[in-house]
Amino acid sequence: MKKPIQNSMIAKIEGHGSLNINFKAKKVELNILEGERLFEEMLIGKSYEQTYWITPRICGVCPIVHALASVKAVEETFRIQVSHSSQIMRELMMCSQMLESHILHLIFLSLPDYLGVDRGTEIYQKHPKYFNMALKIKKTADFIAKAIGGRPVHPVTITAGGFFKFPKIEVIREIKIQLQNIIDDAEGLVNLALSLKYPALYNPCEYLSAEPKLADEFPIYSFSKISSSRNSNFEIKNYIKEIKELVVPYSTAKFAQHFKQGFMVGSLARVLLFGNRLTPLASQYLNKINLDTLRFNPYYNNLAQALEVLHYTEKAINICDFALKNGLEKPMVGFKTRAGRGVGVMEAPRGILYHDYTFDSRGNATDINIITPTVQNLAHIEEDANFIVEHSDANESEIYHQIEMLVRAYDPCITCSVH
Amino acid sequence: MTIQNTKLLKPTIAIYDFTDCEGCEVQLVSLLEDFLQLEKRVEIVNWRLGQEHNHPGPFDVCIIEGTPITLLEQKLLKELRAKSKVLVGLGACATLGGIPAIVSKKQRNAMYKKIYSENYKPRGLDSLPLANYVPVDYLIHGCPADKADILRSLTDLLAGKMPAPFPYPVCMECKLKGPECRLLNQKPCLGPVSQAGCDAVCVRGGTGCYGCRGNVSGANWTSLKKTLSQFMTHDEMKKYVSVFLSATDEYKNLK
Repeated sequence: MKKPIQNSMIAKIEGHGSLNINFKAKKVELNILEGERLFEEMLIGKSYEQTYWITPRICGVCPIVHALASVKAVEETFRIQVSHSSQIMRELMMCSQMLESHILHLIFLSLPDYLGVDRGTEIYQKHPKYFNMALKIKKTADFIAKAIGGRPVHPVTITAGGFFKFPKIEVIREIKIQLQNIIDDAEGLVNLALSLKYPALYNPCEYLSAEPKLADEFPIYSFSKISSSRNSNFEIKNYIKEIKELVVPYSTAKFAQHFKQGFMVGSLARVLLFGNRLTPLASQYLNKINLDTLRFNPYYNNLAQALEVLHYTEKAINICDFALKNGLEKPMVGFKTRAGRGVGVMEAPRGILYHDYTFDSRGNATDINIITPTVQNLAHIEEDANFIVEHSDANESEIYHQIEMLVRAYDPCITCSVH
Repeated sequence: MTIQNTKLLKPTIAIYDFTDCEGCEVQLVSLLEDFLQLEKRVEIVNWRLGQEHNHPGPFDVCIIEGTPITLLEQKLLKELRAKSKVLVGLGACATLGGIPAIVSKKQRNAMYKKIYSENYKPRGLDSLPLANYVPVDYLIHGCPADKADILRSLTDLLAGKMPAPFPYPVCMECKLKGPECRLLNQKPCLGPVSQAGCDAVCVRGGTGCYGCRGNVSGANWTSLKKTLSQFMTHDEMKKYVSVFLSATDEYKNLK
């Protein structure tokens, strides 16, 4: 077991954070050390088209969802209704975003903890079956993101009004074939996630997820409100009153609270709130699991991510089928800039993402507020870490390692959190 | 130049990231099989994003992504320079200042107050490219860095050869791929002055070139500015150029 090195950077998480564990006082501080990135102020005065060009650069792991939340905020402000084809192509991009981000997190960052290796690529030597599974899913995700967005990291085809261009219908056919070829791998990933031994933890919290407009749909692109596991649902536009962001002295990221407490967003929250809306195969696996085991144990976020990989693979196939049957309309609708405010909300791989923009009549930004999923999870990561230090009778090294694993299970995106 | 390490035989590589989006490291990992091949030929001895057990150096090659914004990062950069034979900047944040450089040092204080609070104690100092602090041996440009370009640059380095920048502009690749010229259609584009190596991916996707790969040698900004000013105001031009090039002389000369 590695000796705890207080305040050294936590490995295998996106961005720079460290743990300061006071074993005597039984108190953990999650230090966020990224330099302040100041995106919200950087965007003031920029034109609307630069908002969805610049904001994907908040995160290289989930740039697609930032681009989509951003363009939705612009479209809501200018009252643009994109075509149904644009909507489903954005949904297909979101499927690829979920697959890509979850695979990177599971294989390179989290799974090594469970398989007893260090670097993710060691899985290639020790468990080639798992690694090849992940490789195939990642390739398919990248293929989809490139086919629709132009490239996987920082898409280039998204514009207010829809897309600059759509892929040819033959490409959609090829996407579908690739997706069908990874169904087995996605199932393999779920089986792998089901076979892992997750540390025990039971620390009740509130789960929040954006609720899809359609009553039978699992979160993907269109949302009606924010749904809470504690019956404290709220309207999207009221997020600013509901979610309070606190500045803490040891962090360049803010810590968000709801009702003065930490809460959890992301895969586990989505599966707990909307698990009955998963696609057929993913549902079959979910039905084998007792949801009460997952509830209030954040380590199971990894299992929820694996279930989502299967779900979004199936969902993506359905979208391809629809496009192949009905064809695609024109990619872009015309629009005029106008003064006003728009809130673009999305379910990012790590949870709810808010982009809230105000523009002047020429389409230049005058006010910007962004809340990322990790900002919402930070307070509860700390609450869970405190819970472990308070209740565990393991030695300090083991506790340190368990808390590192906890942080990784949340899949924090620290670069996103310091935006 | 040689990066052969006689003791270990394989050259030692360190991959560091400063403040940024980590998208260039995602590109590196997305090389997949090519990454595994590359990995066989080197010892990755330090990589916080990828592994827990990290060696303090010295290193044969140190690859740095991101902008050194905090004092800690700026100090670390100087240490890394001292203990690395070859220092490589990866991606626009490292090579040009990129998106983070949109915020100038002067603006930072007011922004901290607005985003955080009146009495917030900031960590960030400034957002400038690596070369503003230490000599850098090679720059792998792009936002994100292009996968093929990463592979080409690293393969060259492993072969003991310093990779060379692309000697022609983005326009060259764009013309070969065939999208209509944006400038002819009076739409902004920095293709003529920007270094190639991206296959004009943005222009082909429908967005103009924002110049994330830096200047091509012999870039004729005077001529491009004249063309752009036919359909853009000076302010619009400044805003456009500011996206990746705020820390460059070309942007400063627009003021």
